[in-house]
Amino acid sequence: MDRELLRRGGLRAYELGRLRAATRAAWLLVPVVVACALATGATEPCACVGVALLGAAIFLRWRSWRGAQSVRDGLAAGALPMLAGLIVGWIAPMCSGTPLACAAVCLLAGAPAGAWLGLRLARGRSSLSAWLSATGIAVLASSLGCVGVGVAAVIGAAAGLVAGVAVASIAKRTT
Amino acid sequence: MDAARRKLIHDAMVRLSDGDRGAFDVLLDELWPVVLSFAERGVGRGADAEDVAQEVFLKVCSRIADFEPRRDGLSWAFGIASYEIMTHRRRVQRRREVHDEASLTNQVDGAASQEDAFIAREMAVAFEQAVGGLEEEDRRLLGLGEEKRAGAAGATVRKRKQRALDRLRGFWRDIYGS
Repeated sequence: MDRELLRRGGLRAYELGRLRAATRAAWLLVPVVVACALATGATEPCACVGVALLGAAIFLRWRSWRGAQSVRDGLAAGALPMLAGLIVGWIAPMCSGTPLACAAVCLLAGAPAGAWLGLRLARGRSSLSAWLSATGIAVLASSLGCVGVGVAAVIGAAAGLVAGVAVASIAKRTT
Repeated sequence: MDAARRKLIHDAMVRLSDGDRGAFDVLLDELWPVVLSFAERGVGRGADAEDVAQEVFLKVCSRIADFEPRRDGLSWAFGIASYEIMTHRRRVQRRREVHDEASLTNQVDGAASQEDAFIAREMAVAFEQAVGGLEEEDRRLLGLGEEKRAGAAGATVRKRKQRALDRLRGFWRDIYGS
């Protein structure tokens, strides 16, 4: 048996197996993206954010186990501002006349979620790439719900998440 | 199989399931001989064992992303190997059955041709009996004797031949009916 041939075949099988396992994220993300698109009525922005989120999730899960953990944590953290965005959009569609209020609601929902994520990452002594990946996934997930109420809400949720993560990590390091 | 090697294989699997591609060569060097030996015990030495071992190794690599680090890596690989060996045996068995069916069909075809040969032999014997009833002269005229009579004119020979054939038909009818 040619060792090099076996090695090449094995590596190909390994990468394909990892990719197949990584794409299982679609079972969760595709229904969530569809639900958000239907709930907000913003089909195209939701589809764009959904594709970006799905691509990032699959890439991170394929790359390593730590990446898969970042996806899990990011999605969990992004769920709260996403729900807040959906509820705000349901109560006041497109935040007519009150875009700052909507942004504030998303920011307020994003801050505790970011703090939770920051504490979790700090406890696990994660690397910088893990911090960035988890925060990025959380921002994308929150955008799915907030995109229906405007750009201000998306920015608010992202700012809340980043601020929460930063404050929690600083607090964890100082204690 | 010593415990150190077992642990080496398990650790390589855990590293690979975490996404550490650097552990692949360790897995190849340590697991491949074990899998090959296991396959040889399952299907016998030779090309079949290598094929099965290769299939097992590729399946292990393909499914390693789902490997649970709590499980023993080698036992997990042996589970895959056992399944592959059983599949190979079933495939060989099925191939053998198809081959047996084909040879049985050939035997049946052979029996039909033997029957044809038997009928042809019977016909030849019957013909010999009918020809045996003819005069020597008639046999010669029909080209069944040893030599032809020279000297007679063509039309005479044709008439005699016709009469000899009529007599042969008569004998055939007497012995076998129509």
